[in-house]
Formats: sequence, structure tokens, C-alpha cells
Amino acid sequence: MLVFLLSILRRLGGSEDAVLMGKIMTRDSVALSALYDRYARLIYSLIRSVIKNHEEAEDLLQEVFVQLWERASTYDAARGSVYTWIVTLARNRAIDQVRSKSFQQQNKIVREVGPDMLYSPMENSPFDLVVAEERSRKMRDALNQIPPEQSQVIHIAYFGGCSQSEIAAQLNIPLGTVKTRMRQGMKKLQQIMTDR
Amino acid sequence: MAIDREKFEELCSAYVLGALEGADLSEFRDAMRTADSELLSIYQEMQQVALHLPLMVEQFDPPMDAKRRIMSRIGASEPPARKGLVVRIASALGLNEPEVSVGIAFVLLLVVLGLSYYSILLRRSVVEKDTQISHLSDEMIAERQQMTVVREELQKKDELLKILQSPRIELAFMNGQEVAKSGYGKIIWDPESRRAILQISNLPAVPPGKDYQLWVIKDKIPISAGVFTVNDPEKENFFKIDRLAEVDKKNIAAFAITLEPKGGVPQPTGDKYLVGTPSL
Repeated sequence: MLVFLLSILRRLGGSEDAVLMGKIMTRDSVALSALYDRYARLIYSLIRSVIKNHEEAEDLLQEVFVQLWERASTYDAARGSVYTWIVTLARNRAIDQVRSKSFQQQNKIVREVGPDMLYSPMENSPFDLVVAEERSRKMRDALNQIPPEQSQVIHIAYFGGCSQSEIAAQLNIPLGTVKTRMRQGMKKLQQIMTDR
Repeated sequence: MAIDREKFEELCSAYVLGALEGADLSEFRDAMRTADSELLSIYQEMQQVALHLPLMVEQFDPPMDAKRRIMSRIGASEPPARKGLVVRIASALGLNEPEVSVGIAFVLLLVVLGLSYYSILLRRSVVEKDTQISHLSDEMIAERQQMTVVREELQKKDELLKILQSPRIELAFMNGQEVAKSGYGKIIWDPESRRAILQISNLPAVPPGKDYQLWVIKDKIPISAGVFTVNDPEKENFFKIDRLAEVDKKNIAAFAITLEPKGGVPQPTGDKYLVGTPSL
């Protein structure tokens, strides 16, 4: 029953996002304000977890929503939910910024985030104001349930924007070990999410 | 060449996390082009996990003015907060806000005064109802006492009837003596059950510390048949005697009633009030 209700809430949430996005495309600033209210906390937290600096995170949060406003017409609902689009946009911008600073400091080549990383099809948004906090707590619990060495490689990859070989170098472990831990960790997370 | 499931999971998990690069990335893209439904299902499941990862980090509220700055950058002011009631009323009536505020305050004052007056009326009403309830309660107690008296009277009459219905009853009349000339009495008894009814009239009220005592005179010896009290001489008084000491009228020389100390005495000591013999 609970799963059914959450599913309905998520569908309603996704539907509301799509309506807001449609209005943003027609330059409705009130819709952008409403979308900000729905996602600002999540996006700001995501950026902070990547950048680790709250002042830069605030600047980037602004950049993400301004970019969302300016590029709203490029949003394609057939390719994914608004949630997916905003999260992907925010994560890519945050990783770019970290890598840009790293490049300036260490004169290294920045790994380009491919176009197919922008966003992908997803039927429902996992995010909804009503259930977000509860789901967030459950997801943190899930991450705590998998072995720390597995959650570590997942965290570095997703929030650090590192490739598998970079992770291997950073942790000083074989590349094969990184691949195995990543696969096992993701499978376990998927299993925990399915069981809930 | 078809990719095996384990290898696909390995590539897929890295891909959805954005950690795939070089030859591995090419291999994954090739695999996706020929992926069957099972591999596509794995891809979608992995992608769901990755999309939930932002929810796994600790959540923070963005700075208060971040929204205002964004709205400013896109050339829009932040949507105004909803107008308060006073502002909306003032706008609707074409008045200024202080006037509307004073008006609302006056209306509220009237409401408070009205409610206070209503409260006083209610309190008075409650007091009146309490008094009525108290009176009704007293009346009910009196009625109940009256019912008890009536019930006792009924019980006496019922017992009298029982004795009178006996197939064989005996009767003795008693007449007033010197101290109570107008007094008289009757004793009706059932020899079988030995129960008797004493009826007396016009005997004076019993003084404090005294009782009337009924005697059965047998072989010139008075035997006590019980004590009783008369409170209201105007009324006839009935008294029940559960077990008469002697029931054979041949053996009863007379009945007598004397005034004795409270509770009675073994032998008569006071004045005789009534004396009578059994009827033949």
C-alpha cells in the first residue's frame, strides 16, 4: 500500500515538474520560482557534496537555475524527467568546476563529460517534496549497509567525478579491484532499493 | 561477440556513475547497441540507483537570498508574497490600511463585548437551572419518603388482610380506662399462625422515655405481648404482633395496655390505658 501511495505521489510530483517546465519554456518566472522551491535544497546539497565549499556551491546553484532558465527550450521530456535533467546538469557543472580548479592547480587534462551523460530516460522522478526527506534518509541508510570500500568507490566516482583509473590511482589499488567493488556496490544498492 | 552479464554489469555500473572511459566506454556503447531485454533491464536498474545517489548525501538548505539573486539575474523579481487580509480588504473597499485596521479592531471589540454579555446570560441561566434542579431534587426526596410511608401502610394493610382472610380469627375489644377514657382498641388474631393485629385509637401520645405495652392476662398473670409507640393520637394506629403468647381465647382472661418505661418491663407497673376481653 505504501509503495503504491509513494508511486502515486511520485507520478504527481513528476507531472507537476513537467507542468512547471512547460511554463518555464514560455518564460514564466513564477514557474521557475516554484521549481526552485522544489529542488533548491537537493541541488544545493548535491553541489556542496561535490565542491565541498558552501560559498562556491551557492554561486553554482545560481548558475544551474539560470542555465535551466536559459536552456529550458532544450529540455526534452522524452529523454527523461525534469529531476534527471536538473540533477545531471548540477552534477556536471559541479564536477567541471572541481576539475577546472584542479587543472589550474595541477595543469592536468580535464576529463570531458560526454554528451550522453547529460540525462537519460527515466519514467518517474525519485524526488518529491512529500517523500524526499524520508527517501533521502533511507538512501543514506542503504549506502551505509554496503561495505565501506564499495561505497567509497561509488562516492568518489559520482561525487568526485573520477574515472575508474583515477580512483585506482587515488586509492592505490588495482583497477580490477575498483571495477569489482563498483559493480558489487551498485548491485547491492539496487538490491536494497528493490527490497524497500 | 555477445558480452557476458557480469562484464556488462561491471561496465554499466561504471557508466551510470560517469566513471567509464577509453576502451571500456567504447565496449559498453557497442554492447548497448546489441543489448537484449535482460541487459537493457540491468542498465535501467543501475541508472535508477545512480539517479538516487543525490538523495544519499546530507541535505542542506541553500542561503536565504540565493533565490532572490537568481530571480534578479533572470530579470524577474521574486513573486510577491501573498497579500495579508487587511491589505486585500483595503484594496477591495478602496480604503487605506489604517482605516481598515481600525474597522476590524472595532468589529472585533464588538464581538468580544457581545460574547462577554452572552457569557453572563449563560452563567445566569446555569445558576437558575441549578436552583431548579435542587428544588426538583428536594421534591423527589420528599416524594420518595412519601412513597416509603405509603408502602409501609400498604404492607400493614396487606398483613391485616392476610390475618382477616384466615378461616378462623378471634377478636378482642379494649375500652379506655381512667387515664384515657375516649381510647379504644381491638386485637384480631389468627390462632393457627399466632399472628395478631392491634388497632388502637384515641390514646395520648407517648411521653419521652415511655412506651405502651400490651399484656395478655392468663391465669391472672400478665404476659408481655410487645411494646409500641403512639405519635399521632388523631390517627388510628395498627401494630403487628408476630407471635402472640397465648392464642386460645379460653385461656385468655383479658388484654391490657399500660404505659411503661421505654422498651417495656417484665411485669406491668404503669397506669392501665385500655382493657378488654376476647369476644365469645
